[in-house]
Amino acid sequence: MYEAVIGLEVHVELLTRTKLFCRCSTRFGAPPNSQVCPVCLGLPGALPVLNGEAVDQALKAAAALNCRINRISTFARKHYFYPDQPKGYQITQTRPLAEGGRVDLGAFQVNIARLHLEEDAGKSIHTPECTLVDYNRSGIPLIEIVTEPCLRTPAQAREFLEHLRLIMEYAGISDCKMEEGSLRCDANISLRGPGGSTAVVEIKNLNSFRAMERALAYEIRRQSRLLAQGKAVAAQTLRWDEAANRTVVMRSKEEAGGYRYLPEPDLPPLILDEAAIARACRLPELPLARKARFIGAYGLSEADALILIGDRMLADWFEAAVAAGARPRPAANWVLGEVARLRKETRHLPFTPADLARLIDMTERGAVSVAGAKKVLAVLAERGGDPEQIVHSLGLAQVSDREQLAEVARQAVAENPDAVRDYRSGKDRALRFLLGKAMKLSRGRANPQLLRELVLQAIADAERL
Amino acid sequence: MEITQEQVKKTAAMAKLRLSDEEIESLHRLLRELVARSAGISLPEEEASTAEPGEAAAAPAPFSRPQPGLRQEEVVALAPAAERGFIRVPRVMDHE
Amino acid sequence: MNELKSLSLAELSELLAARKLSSVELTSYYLERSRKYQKDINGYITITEDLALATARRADELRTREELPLLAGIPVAVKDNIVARGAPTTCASRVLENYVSPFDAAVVEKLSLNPLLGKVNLDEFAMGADNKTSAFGPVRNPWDLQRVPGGSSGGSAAVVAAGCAPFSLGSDTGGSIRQPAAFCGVTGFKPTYGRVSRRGLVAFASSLDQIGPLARSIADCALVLQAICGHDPADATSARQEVPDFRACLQADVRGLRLGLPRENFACCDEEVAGAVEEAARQLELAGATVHWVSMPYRDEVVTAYLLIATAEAASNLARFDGVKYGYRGQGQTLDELYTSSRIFGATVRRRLMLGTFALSGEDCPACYEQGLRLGRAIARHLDSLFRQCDVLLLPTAPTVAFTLDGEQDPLASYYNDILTIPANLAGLPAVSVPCGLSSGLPVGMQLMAPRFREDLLLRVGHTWQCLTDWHQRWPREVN
Ligand SMILES: [Zn+2]
Repeated sequence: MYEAVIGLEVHVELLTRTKLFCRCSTRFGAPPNSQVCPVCLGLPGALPVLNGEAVDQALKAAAALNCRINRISTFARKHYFYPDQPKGYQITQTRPLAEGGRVDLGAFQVNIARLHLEEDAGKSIHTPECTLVDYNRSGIPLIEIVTEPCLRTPAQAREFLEHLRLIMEYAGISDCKMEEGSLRCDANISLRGPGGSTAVVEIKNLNSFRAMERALAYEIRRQSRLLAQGKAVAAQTLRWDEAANRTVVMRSKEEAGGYRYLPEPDLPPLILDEAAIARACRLPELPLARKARFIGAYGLSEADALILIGDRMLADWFEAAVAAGARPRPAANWVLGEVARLRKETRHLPFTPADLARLIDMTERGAVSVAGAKKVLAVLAERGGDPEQIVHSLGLAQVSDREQLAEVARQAVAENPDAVRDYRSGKDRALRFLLGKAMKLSRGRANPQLLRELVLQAIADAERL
Repeated sequence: MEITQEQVKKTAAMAKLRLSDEEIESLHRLLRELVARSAGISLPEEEASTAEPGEAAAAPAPFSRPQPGLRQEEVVALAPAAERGFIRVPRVMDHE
Repeated sequence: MNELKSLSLAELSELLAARKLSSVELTSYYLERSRKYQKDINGYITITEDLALATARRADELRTREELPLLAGIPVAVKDNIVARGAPTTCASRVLENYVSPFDAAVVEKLSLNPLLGKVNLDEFAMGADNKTSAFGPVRNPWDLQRVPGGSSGGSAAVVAAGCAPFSLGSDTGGSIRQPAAFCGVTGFKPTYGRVSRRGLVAFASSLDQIGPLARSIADCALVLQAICGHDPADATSARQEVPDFRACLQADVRGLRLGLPRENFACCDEEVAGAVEEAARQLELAGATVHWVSMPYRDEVVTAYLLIATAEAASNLARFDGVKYGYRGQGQTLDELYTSSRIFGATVRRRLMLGTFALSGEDCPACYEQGLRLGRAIARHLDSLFRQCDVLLLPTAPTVAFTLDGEQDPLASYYNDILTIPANLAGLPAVSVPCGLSSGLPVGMQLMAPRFREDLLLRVGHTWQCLTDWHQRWPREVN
């Protein structure tokens, strides 16, 4: 059988206020060609100036991926003609900012070959009649992260990419929105078998995690079939066609004769001082460390912790609720259940983790039932407000008053002697019937645990009479 | 190394230049000369210098707020063809 | 008013400051001369009369309220590869025929109170040494209209030589300021690489290009340098070097200065040219300098290094002219047709782009560009070693005087005309050409070269020379 050898080239758009070599805004979604200047439009006479914020962001990424940061890195021009490439070349790095990183995912480890800064191109829109170009994206800072070909399965590739996205998000390096193109991935894949390895095939246009996994799986099937038929696998550049669910051969942007790299004469080498490197290494807590803390400090299960850290907003929510006094495990349940569901429905949450903490506290005190609390949360999600007041206004306040409920229990027992008899003769269903009657008498507001205790008490008392 | 006319034509294709046959012929000679000259260079190995003498390090620009560049009307006015604020070119046949 | 053209920039500045002359009067005078000689010399691609007069009026108006910088109000001609808002920047190419830059070059910003007479002619994209490759016709040498003005800043040199502009800006990549200055009998100054911001200079070979002034004397150049030098945070290759008081540098004489004369650089020149420059060295010796013959053994290497570096960078820099975002667009149904029909450069530019593309393409020419850089560094190191033996190098600017317009030259042989000027670009050194004689009635240029950021030495030697002689004050008969 054959083993897949997969390497990824990931492009991550950095979160910076301005572009890599000019002071144009990086805001997404502006009208076409409204965030451009002589530099990012490649006008004659324009010169690039390196943006320090982008350097710091790239350094953070290098530190987060455990890379070795090069004190001296150099810029180079990579040439190709394409309408969305305004200068006829892309400024990238030949001696990269960082090399030799490592990401440990427990079950497997991914080695990072290099990480470098480069500028994005504009965006082409292809219509049936013509191609339209918008240069707003031209010059937006990217880092390219190249892994060693150390991934073995499409699932591993996906897990790594998802984890990479989390790291970038946690460290505030990128928002990694695949749908907006701020995280893009190309993959290299070959098959290795007893007879040697196939040629390396590059797959582009993997613009979702799912697309990546499916494209790689497809390629493994396709190449295995070719090998089984005794055919060779051509070294080519493919693209994933989502609609057709297959890879197709792509005309390469690259010219015959290569990219003709030229050391960038407009930009001297980037020389980093220790202070800049040290600054970059002060990272916020990264996802794996957070997971360990959730398990260790909060006693969450591995599974819950994993889901929570995978969604940074929920994880933050969870921690804020705990900080506001909620017990960790119920808080995790609520956040992973109701809060996640409500966020998905309403797209935003008008209530605070403190609100949730109070609600959890009320359920634990028996002041509101779990079902009632869910209703309260729905109201909070809809229009916000004060949890206690909502409990009151919805009449959800749970009755936990012993005297009051004992009266209700006695009444239910007195009014249903048949059921009491059935219960005594061993029919469990009869108790549920009595509890239902009692709950109804309390207009559904009784604390169920307490009510059960008091109904049993009332049955016992009736017997003695 | 022998340079062929094909290589001259390939270079013209890379440079996106349309050349006459006479030009290709004369460039053929010139490129041969260039390769010979380049191959003829023999210099003592340089000590591995990190940067050119006197060459400044790239000083990254301090963080700054975005500044207005060109307005869409200006960009469109410069362009030979535009449509709805986009620059228009003939349809690119293949994807990417 | 005919004598205005003979006044120095300092004298004009005084007249303007004393309000004995207005900028509008001065500008009108030069505009008139510019128009008058345009037909013969073809020095301009565009004469920007309205722009010039508007700036002149603004300068005059401002002067009624405040004291203005020394050069304010004095008109300037700018090489047409330096962008200025409101005027076309063509680079003498069809590719940019109607291009108007939406921003000003750094030097244009710095000269914002200097009326822009016009954009002056050059070799297409500054590639050439005779100004014959301009898409808008060749420039003619005011000293002999059948001869070339040199290049690529041929227009910058010719308009100053003809008294059509008191000073001009040029750019120098392999001698493009100095050689035309020599051919036209004016003073042309290439500052140290990084002294003047390149922002707004349409790049030819980014690591060699440098903007500098062409004027009627070293003293005039000093004033212009003062105005245009200095660090620009928007040019990453701009030097963070203190700018000295260049006018003060003119005060010192040459006593005790060691002048180095590279033997081989004289041997390769026409006899009269070499003789005139040697004679100049002797006179400077009489003024107190000492003269030392030194060796500059590099010859083919200079041409090879330049060929590899300049063409490779040019191929890269000119990739942006693709007919997509601005400039000329040809007809094409496909992208490739659009590109090839839009990149309608002249023959010389096409040839250099081919050489450069080839040099960068790797497989056929392995490490060509890197080899060029190494060679350039070796030459720079040799020059460094010469500066341990002397303070200033003194040599001819060009091997010959201006040649005739009709001659055709082998493309490779033509590079050998530049072997005296290229080394300063390879090493980033400041260098200047000053008039030092006439040969068959045509100007001869003497080149002075100094270590990086030692423009002061060039000003000292050049000014001393111009105090001793009047070669720089001669006028071509045709324009007097
Ligand atoms: Zn920009």
